[in-house]
Amino acid sequence: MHKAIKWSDIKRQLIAYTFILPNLMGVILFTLAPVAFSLVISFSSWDYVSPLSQISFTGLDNYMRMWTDNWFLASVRNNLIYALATVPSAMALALAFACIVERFCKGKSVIRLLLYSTNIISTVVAAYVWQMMLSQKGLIPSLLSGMGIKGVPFFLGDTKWALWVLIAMAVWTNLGYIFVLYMAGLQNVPEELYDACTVDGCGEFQRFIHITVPMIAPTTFFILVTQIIFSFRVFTPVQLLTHGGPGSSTYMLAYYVYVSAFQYYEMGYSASITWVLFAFIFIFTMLQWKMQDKWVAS
Amino acid sequence: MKANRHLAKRVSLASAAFTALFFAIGFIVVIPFVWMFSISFKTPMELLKYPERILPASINWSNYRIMLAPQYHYLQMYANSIKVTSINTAGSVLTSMLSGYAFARLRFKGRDAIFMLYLATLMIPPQITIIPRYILFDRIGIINTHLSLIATGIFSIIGVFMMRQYFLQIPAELGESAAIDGAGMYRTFFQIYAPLALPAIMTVGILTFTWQWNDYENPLIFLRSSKLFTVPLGLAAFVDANETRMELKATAGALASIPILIVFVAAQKYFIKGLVSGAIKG
Repeated sequence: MHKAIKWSDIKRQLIAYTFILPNLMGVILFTLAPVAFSLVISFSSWDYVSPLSQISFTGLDNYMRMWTDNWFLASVRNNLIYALATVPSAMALALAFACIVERFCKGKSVIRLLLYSTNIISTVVAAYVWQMMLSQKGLIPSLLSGMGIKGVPFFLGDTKWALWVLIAMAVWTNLGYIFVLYMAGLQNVPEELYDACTVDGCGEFQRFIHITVPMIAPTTFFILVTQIIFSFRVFTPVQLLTHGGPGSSTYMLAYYVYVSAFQYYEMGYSASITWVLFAFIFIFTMLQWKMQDKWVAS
Repeated sequence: MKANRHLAKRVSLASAAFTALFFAIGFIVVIPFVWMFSISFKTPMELLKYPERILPASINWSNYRIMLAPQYHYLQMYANSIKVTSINTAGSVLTSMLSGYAFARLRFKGRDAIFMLYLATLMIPPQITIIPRYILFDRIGIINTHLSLIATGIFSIIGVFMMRQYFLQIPAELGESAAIDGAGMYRTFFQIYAPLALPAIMTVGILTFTWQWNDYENPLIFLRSSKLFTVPLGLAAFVDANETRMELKATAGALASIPILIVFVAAQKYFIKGLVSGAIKG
């Protein structure tokens, strides 16, 4: 009797594994195994053309070399500026928008639809619309010179401006997405808390600081973590709008990975850069986890 | 009482003012797309006029006729995108459903450990796996085929999370009573749980559809022949080759966006639900 029960339990477990098997196979084959392989070749020098058996391991060479590689250093610098400029400004704007719209506006779903649409349309389309708007006879230069501003630069071809165009485009793309998340977060704040605060004589600003900010802290935390991760993966706008240029002014990590792997075929070096990219994401995520205890009231 | 009426009046005034302001902001945000659609209806002559008008003088379909003519392969690109996107969407929904259900409702050794592993992979940037995947696909000879997009596209870890989250909300007793009836595990799943998960299926399906339709990086790396290009990749190739034809570039962009806009407007609530279910529960 006892044995029979055990056997049926084993059978149940085996069938349960078949439920996750398709997905698990995908994860092993296309994520875990590639991760291991990537780590191995990141310690090698390999041009892709020569056979894998002749791969030469070079120890930490790739990881040492990058710190004297100006293209890599520019990518790190630009990517940090990009992340630290894009994420806080998009989040602050979205939070302000969400608080006002949630409290005062009619037609919330229309506003949401309009703001979120930038996130739905493909980055390729968005990038080319921006390119057209910023081109010599595009909307923005003609608007600016119409306003009497002289010497309007060609933004995408200017080392001082190009990175800021990418930052502006990222804020424009992500604003609606963050806005949607904040709107949902705000709806979960119990009305009674605001009422209690009003009874205690809170003004608008105190309401925001004492009730809204702590209550939506988990949402803020989620957005912060994911947005930082995404901003270290930015690729398509760089590839389509600037190719990292002019000069190295808009090189970023994911773009440099692509260039070194698929244009220069330095597979080992490129793999080592992906691990530095991962390290950045990992460090930022861990920092935020550590900080979460301090500012997210559970 | 009087003070209350005062307050109510102030709030409704603020409400009107802010509503107007945010409709205006919303409109400014979508101006780039309005401008793109507008240019797609303009003739090259009209584009030379200065100052530029946001809206076209008349609706003129000739750019669309040009873009859809065989020489630009737009219909071919659409067919490619539809093929890859629908296979990947159906595949991810199915594999995510099965795994999400297993992680939520079935008991087996190592379940929680495997799930933690899934969680951890979310932090890994796709750039890490792309070089090894390229090498693997090259070895097995599927570079420059749609299979290279489908092989990875039918698995979605985010989909597993969303499905698991949803199945956790469905009472476990449902399945238990079916188990007493002696229904097999797959029967229990397909007859009882899967129909109840329809909202989650819609959400995962629509989000996957959007990501797949808009994907640019994978096709860029894995496809070579232009007859295999999906819409975003083909659009990029077209724009690079036709720098000066602004009205055609805009039309190509409009054509690429129309399917996604239709899906978005029709299924807005699933989009919102999907985004929010990922974020708030976390």
